[in-house]
Amino acid sequence: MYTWEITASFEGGLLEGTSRLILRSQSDTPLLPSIGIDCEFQLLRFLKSKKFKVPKPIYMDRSGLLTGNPAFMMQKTIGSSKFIGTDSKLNILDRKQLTRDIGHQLGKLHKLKIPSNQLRLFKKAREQSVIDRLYTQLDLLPYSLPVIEWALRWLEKNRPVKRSQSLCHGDFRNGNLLIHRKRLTGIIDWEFAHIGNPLEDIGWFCARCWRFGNDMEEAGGIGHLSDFMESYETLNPRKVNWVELPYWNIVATVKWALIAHRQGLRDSWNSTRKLELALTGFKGVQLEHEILKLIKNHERVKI
Amino acid sequence: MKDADKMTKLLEAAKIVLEEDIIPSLPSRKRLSALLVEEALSIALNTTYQLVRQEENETVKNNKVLSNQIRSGVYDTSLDGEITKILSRDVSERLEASTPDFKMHQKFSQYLTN
Repeated sequence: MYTWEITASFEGGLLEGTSRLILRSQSDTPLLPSIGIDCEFQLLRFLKSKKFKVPKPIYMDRSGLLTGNPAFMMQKTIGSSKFIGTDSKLNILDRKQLTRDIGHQLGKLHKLKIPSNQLRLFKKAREQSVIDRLYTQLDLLPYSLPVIEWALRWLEKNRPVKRSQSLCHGDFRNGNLLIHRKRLTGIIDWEFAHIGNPLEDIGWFCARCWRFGNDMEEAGGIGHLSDFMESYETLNPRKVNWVELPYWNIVATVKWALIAHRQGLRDSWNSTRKLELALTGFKGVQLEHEILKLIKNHERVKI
Repeated sequence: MKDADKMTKLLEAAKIVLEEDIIPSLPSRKRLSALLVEEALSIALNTTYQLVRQEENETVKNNKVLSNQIRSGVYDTSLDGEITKILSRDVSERLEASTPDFKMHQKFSQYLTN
C-alpha cells in the first residue's frame, strides 16, 4: 500500500472547507497476506461504527481515478507513530496509562463479534494457519534460509492447542499506533487483518524486536506487560492463555525475519528508501540469532 | 563471505545515495573527500560481485540441501540437538561479518517501519 497525507479544499457538502486527509492506495504488486484496499476501507467503516480508535474512512475510489489504482481517503487522525518508548518525558504513570489504553483497544478488538457479512472479507486468510502463511512467505524467497526452516519445523511440532479465534489486526506494533499527548489516538494500517489466534497480535506487539532496545518494557517497549494484561483482561477474562505468549513471540520474530529478508530484495525509485531496504535486509540475520536464542530458552524451560 | 548478495545491494544503494543525494549538495571543498569515498565504495563493490559468484556455488547449494532435510523431517528426533550448533555457527559468522555490534549488545534498532 502507498499512503500520502494531503490537504484538500471542498466546496459544499459534508466536508466543506479545508481538511487534512490521508490517501491510501493499493500498490501495483500488493503483498500476499493483504486483504486489499476495498476490504480495508469496509473494515475501517465497521470498526469506526463500533467506536474503535481508527481513522474515519471517507471515500472509496474503486476506479483508480485518484492514483491509478483503487484507493480510499480517510480523515487524518491526530498523533504520531514515532517510537516513544525511549522518550524521557514519559514518566511511569504515563507509560502505565498508555499501556492500559493499548491493552484496552486490543482487548476490545479481540472481543468483537464479527457479523457474517464482514467475515467474508477474511475468507482467504481463514484458509491458512499462521505457520502455513509463513511457509508460503519462505517459499517465495529466491534462496533457502535453514534457520527459518528449522524454526518453522519447531513451531509446527510445538503448536499449542487451537483456541477460540478473533479478529486480529495482523500488524499490531508501536509503529502502527498513533499517540498524541501521551495518549493513544489511533490504530492504523489494517491491511493484514485476519481471523486468528488473539495471541498472534499480542506476541507481535510484545516481541523484543519491536522494543527498539527498551527491552525492560515488555509491552511494545512502552510499558509493563502486567498493565497491558490487566487492561486486556478487563474486557476479555480468560480469553488467552498467557503461558503461550513466548511461543507467539517466536512466531512474531520468525515473521519479522522473513519480512526483513524480503525487504532486502525489494527495489525503490527513491534512493534513500533503497538504502533503507538494503539495510533492513541485514536485520534478517539479527532476527535469526534472536530466534535461535528464544527457542533455546523455550526448550530449557520445558526441561 | 556469507550474505555477499545482500552486501552488494547495500553498497549499491549507499553509492546511489552518495552520488545522487549527497555529492551534488556538497560545497566544493568537501566534494573531493566524498568522491574518494565513492571510489572506495566502487572497489568494495567489485570485490563483492566476485564473492557473490563464489557464494552461488557454495553456500546457496548447502543451504538448500540443509533446508530440504529439515523440511523432510531428517532432524525431527532432535530438533534441539546437533542441528542447532550448525545453525548457530552460521548465524554467528554472518553477524560477525555484517553487524558485530549486535552480537555484543543484542539490541534492535529502528530505521524501518513499513
